[in-house]
Amino acid sequence: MKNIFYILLACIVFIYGCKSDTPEISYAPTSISLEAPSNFPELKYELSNNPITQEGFDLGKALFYEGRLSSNNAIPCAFCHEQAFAFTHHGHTLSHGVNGGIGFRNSPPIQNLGYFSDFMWDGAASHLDLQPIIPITSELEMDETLSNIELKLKEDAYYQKQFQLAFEDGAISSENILKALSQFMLMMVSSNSKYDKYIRNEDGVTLTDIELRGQTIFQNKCTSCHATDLFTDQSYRNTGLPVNPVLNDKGRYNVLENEADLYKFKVPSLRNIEKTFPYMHDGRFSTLAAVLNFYDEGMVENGGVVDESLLREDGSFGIPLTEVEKTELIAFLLTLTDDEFLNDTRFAEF
Amino acid sequence: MKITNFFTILLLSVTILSCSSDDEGTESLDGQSGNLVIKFDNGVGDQDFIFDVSYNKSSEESYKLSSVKYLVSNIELTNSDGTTFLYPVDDNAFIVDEADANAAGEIWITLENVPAADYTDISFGVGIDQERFLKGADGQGDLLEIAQEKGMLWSWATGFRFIRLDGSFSNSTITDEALNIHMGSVGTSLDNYREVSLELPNTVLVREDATPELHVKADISVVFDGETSVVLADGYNQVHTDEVTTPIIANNIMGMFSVHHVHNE
Amino acid sequence: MQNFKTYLLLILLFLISSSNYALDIDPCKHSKDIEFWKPFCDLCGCATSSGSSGFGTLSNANFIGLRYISQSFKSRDGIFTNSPSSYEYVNTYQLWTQIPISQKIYISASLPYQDLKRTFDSGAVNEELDGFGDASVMGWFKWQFYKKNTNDSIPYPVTRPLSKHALQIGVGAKLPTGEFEEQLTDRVNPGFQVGTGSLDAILSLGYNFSGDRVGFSSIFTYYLKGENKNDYRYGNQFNYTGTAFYRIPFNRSALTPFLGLSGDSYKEIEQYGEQQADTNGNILNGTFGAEYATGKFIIGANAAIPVSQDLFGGNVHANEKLSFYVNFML
Repeated sequence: MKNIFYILLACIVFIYGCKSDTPEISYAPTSISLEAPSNFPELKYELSNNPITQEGFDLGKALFYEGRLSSNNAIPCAFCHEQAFAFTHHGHTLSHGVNGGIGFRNSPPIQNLGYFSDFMWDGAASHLDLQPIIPITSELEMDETLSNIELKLKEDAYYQKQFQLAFEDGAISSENILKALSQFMLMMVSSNSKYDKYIRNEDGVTLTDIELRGQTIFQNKCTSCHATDLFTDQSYRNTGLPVNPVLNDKGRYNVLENEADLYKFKVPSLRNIEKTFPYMHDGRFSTLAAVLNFYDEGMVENGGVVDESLLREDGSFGIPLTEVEKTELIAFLLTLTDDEFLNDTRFAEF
Repeated sequence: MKITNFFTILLLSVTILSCSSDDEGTESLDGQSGNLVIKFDNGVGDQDFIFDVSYNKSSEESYKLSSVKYLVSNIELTNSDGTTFLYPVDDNAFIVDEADANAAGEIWITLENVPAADYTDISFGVGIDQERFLKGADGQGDLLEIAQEKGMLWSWATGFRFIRLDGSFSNSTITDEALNIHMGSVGTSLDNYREVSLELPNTVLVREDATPELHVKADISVVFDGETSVVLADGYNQVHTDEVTTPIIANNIMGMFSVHHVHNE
Repeated sequence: MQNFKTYLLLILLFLISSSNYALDIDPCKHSKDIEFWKPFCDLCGCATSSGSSGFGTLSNANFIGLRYISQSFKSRDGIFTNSPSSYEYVNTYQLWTQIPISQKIYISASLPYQDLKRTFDSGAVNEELDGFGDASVMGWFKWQFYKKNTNDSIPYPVTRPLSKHALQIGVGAKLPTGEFEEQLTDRVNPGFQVGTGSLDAILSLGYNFSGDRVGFSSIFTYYLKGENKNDYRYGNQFNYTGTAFYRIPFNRSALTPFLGLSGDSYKEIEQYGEQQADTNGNILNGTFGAEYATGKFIIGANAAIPVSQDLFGGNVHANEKLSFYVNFML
């Protein structure tokens, strides 16, 4: 009798022990904090609308590298935004999209976007969450619709699971897709270049003499537009670039149809400038030397109102730079390269 | 003659009864909610709007439209006490598209779970307000993809088109030139969101078991000949993001709506 | 005869007490018969009808009979001037009677059966309703005048000769025996109902002149409409009729053609105590017809042709009304 009892007891214990609970997928977010470098201005993105979580970030990364966001399932965001080049399109002046369409602007870097309030060369996107709608919708780029993307993602087991982990309503909705992408992009903070460490007195980093001289020239001649440690004042300027008749890109004018905005483009951040070539809104300059040559002697009246800070005493436009100054300036600009950011595995596809 | 007397009394009492008014016991509406239907009916003046029919406007111009759509949000109801009910923001944006109209030319919006009360006024916004825009994708629900499907989302910029009229216009010298009114806000730089407040001609009673209807007339001619009369040939045939023309159209649109009548159930 | 009268009264009482039918009755068809002396709203408080179809025969005989009334309307189905139209067709079959109580007092009553149809220009499915409508009962007091004495002597015979003039006063009610459907009030013509669901009071004052051949009758009636269970109240109605007739006697029968005018004025419909815009109206009709009396039967036909009208802010247009009746004299 006793034996049978003990056997029964063992069976019960065994059964209970063997019962494996299939874990239910539920929303249990792990929050991540967004680093705020001490030499940066205030964050502009409202995090309370979209708090960053590990699950949301992972989802955002998956979507960033997801070809199905395009109509031919082959052009993800990462196609034009490659990490090694600070998320720009390596060596491309303009980018091409599905169906061989060619865009009309150079792909800008994705870095420190939480500190900006307008996006794109003409500021046509005024909220980070909504910016991806533009490349997704453009026939020349990804040529897709939000509803179609939702349908494609809904068939994938990974997304079915990950949306539930990342968002309380667990829905594969356009709202959540865009929020996940924002969470991923917000974490892309580039603030550990040689320059940053020098400024913040970290790791005993110092600049060489030539770099220091370059910094002085930069402060004297460039910070009226490339201000703050973001290296842009986020304004729109006409820098006297001759208009490319093929593209005839009117810049900020397209957004408000204001004559005064003709041929104005956003002052870009110069961080990681070593890697983001070619330069200018249409990628017309392949090297920094070419850019500085243009500033020195290439500016013209282009039909818009060239920025008055570029007006020289003799009535022409430009920033006078000697050959030596150009070399020193370029040396300084190279200190803005942030290898930690460029190699950060958190943002890497694999 | 007893019968006569009886009948006289019967008739008199019937008369008296019919004259007395029913005393409705005061009902408690706490916790009750119901639905409200808003029917948008597009017209041009006192004519029903029909696609591709030519309508005259000021300055000897005429126009034909192949699409009429507008975005309505922040619907709020005011009841007889003066208390207001704002329909939950997450669900409170609708695209009224003439192409979705039923056989009677009406586009229906159904508000659910409206607190039971006696409502006397309604207000709503045309477009998306800045506060909502600054939330980015947060709280947008299905609005982004619905708007995209309906062509109410800009593709080259971020933001919604608040109204979309596509068609052509003519005058004595021009025939069928493109007409596209795609007015919206431009990020935070230009706010073209406008609110409209309308009095209801009769009180509507929302109850658990009664769904009243508001019949809203939207006069398309007011877009062009509202607060300001615009001349299409002067550039008002293409209204997208210009900071001069878009606010004028936005202000005109405010005068487009009226509640023609209501039905209680 | 006494028993028969009592029997009829009891039937009426029964009808009144069982007024809670839930029948799918169709729209209230206000017939616009005004050619009879006594207006008698046999229809629901249809604001579109140009009043009641009148009641009774020209000779004011006591009877029981059947009457058929046909009317139609064209209404605007939408809020724009070029909105499509809807067409309402109303057919009423009435059982009606007039019963004397005493020499000066009598009762009239009617019970209608409505058959309504509405078609739409827009191609929407036709609406059809039918069922019993609102019954009405009225009590009348007839004030007959007498000829003045021409001299002081007592006239011989003792019975005073009747004057040709008479006044009548009626008080009654229209009962909510027909079904009212609030859903149907969504259309521009809310008269498309089988019943009004309300108890209405009717007050009438009539004057008639009956000579050997020529006669004239006029009636003024005011309807005090009640509120129904949906807090819906049709607007009070004032009806006036004037009819001139000429009696042509034959061997054992008589033909009486007649001609007249009738009109109605309606106040706005109210719900929850609030007036609804564009629900009032006026209409004036020209009426004509004839009655043929033979033996115990009177057969009549008449038409009311709208001469001027402004109903529901011009959104509803009433067409001519026709009716036929066969009465058995009591």
